[in-house]
Amino acid sequence: MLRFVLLGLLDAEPRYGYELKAVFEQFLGGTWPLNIGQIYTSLSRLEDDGLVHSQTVPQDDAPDRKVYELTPLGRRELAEWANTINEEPVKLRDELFLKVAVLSLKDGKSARTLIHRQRVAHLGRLADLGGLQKDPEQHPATGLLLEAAILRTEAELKWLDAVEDRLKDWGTNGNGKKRKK
Amino acid sequence: MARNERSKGTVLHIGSAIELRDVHRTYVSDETSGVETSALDGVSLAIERGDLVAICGPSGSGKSTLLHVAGALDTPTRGEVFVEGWALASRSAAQRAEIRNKSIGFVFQQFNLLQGLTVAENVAVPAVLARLKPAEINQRVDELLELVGMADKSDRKPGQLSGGEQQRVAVARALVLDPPIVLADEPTGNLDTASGEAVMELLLASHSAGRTVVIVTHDARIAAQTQRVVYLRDGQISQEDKPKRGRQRKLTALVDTSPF
Repeated sequence: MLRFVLLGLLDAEPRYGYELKAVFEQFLGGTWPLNIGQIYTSLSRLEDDGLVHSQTVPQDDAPDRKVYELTPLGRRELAEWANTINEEPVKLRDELFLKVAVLSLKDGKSARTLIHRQRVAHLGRLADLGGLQKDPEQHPATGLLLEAAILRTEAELKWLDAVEDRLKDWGTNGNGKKRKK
Repeated sequence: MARNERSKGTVLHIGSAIELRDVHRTYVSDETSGVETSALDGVSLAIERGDLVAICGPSGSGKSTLLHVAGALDTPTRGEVFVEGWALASRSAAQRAEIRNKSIGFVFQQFNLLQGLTVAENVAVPAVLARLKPAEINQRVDELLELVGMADKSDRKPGQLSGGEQQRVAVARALVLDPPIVLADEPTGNLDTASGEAVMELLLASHSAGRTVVIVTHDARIAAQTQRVVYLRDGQISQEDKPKRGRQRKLTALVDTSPF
């Protein structure tokens, strides 16, 4: 996936390695930590695959730079990746889901306690994400990222509400079966 | 203290801006059978002066009823309500209205502006009803329209305004009698995100100015900006928290986009 993000950034403008790293960090607000080695490894693989080509640009008072730009093949591959819609299964890898599910098997009370504490933590997260949204200097892409993070947190809060609602109907000694009303 | 001294000495309760003690509110939901529905089922809650509180909960949990009872717009079936130290139960309807008018400014989801009046006239309504002097009314209205950024539209009618603008006018109206308490019922519920944030900024500023602000909301983004969150569920308080706000965390501590 990293290679496509790099292709996308190079498609906007040809760049040399260090510059690409800086742009990548700005683009995602540093939420995907990369070292320069990873950038160079990716770039040389992209070059081997014929998706980018590099040109050595001599500099007066510094070592030469390799500036990378997309080849027509690179542009096609980028477009294909970027325009493919997501039909992957919903990934519920979040441990919270499993923790709540496990606790609710045991008894409603411990699940409710976790839900309450998680809610507080999520509200704190929302407050901080909202604070970051007000930063006027952020990259527009980071703004999109923040919006996604906020909406996901809101979705989880709604999910916690829904779980709490369902727990009401479960017996206190649990086993996950619904008690008849 | 001054506020309490002014009360007529019947029931004196010093302290909270609003206090509910074991408040119940039932409605007859079926007239023929007399079946009752319980909207509030034993709620006790003290909101301190200067608090910024969000009341949350699913729809039908009783949060609007709670706000109405706390704001003396509705009377509990059982239990006691104190507003700024005044016990409401021992008062006549007229006395309750007086306490309400001088203590509380309301903001509603539907704005509730009078369509036939201009923006400035809408803001002036509570002050006119309270028989303030016209010169004082004009001055307050001008100041408040300035505050909410609606001074240039003071001659418009509500129908000529966007939802966000109408709600800003409603906030100005809520503040015209300079109440110590502002109660807002889903104030951003009918607004787009940007307008909602502008209205929320006004409510936050109102809190910073020293008022007690209580906001009923189902919007977690709004609740996250308050100091205290009260969750209602089936007419009871199911959870109450004063979220600890440390320093603003950095983006990299909050979001991870790497696939590993």
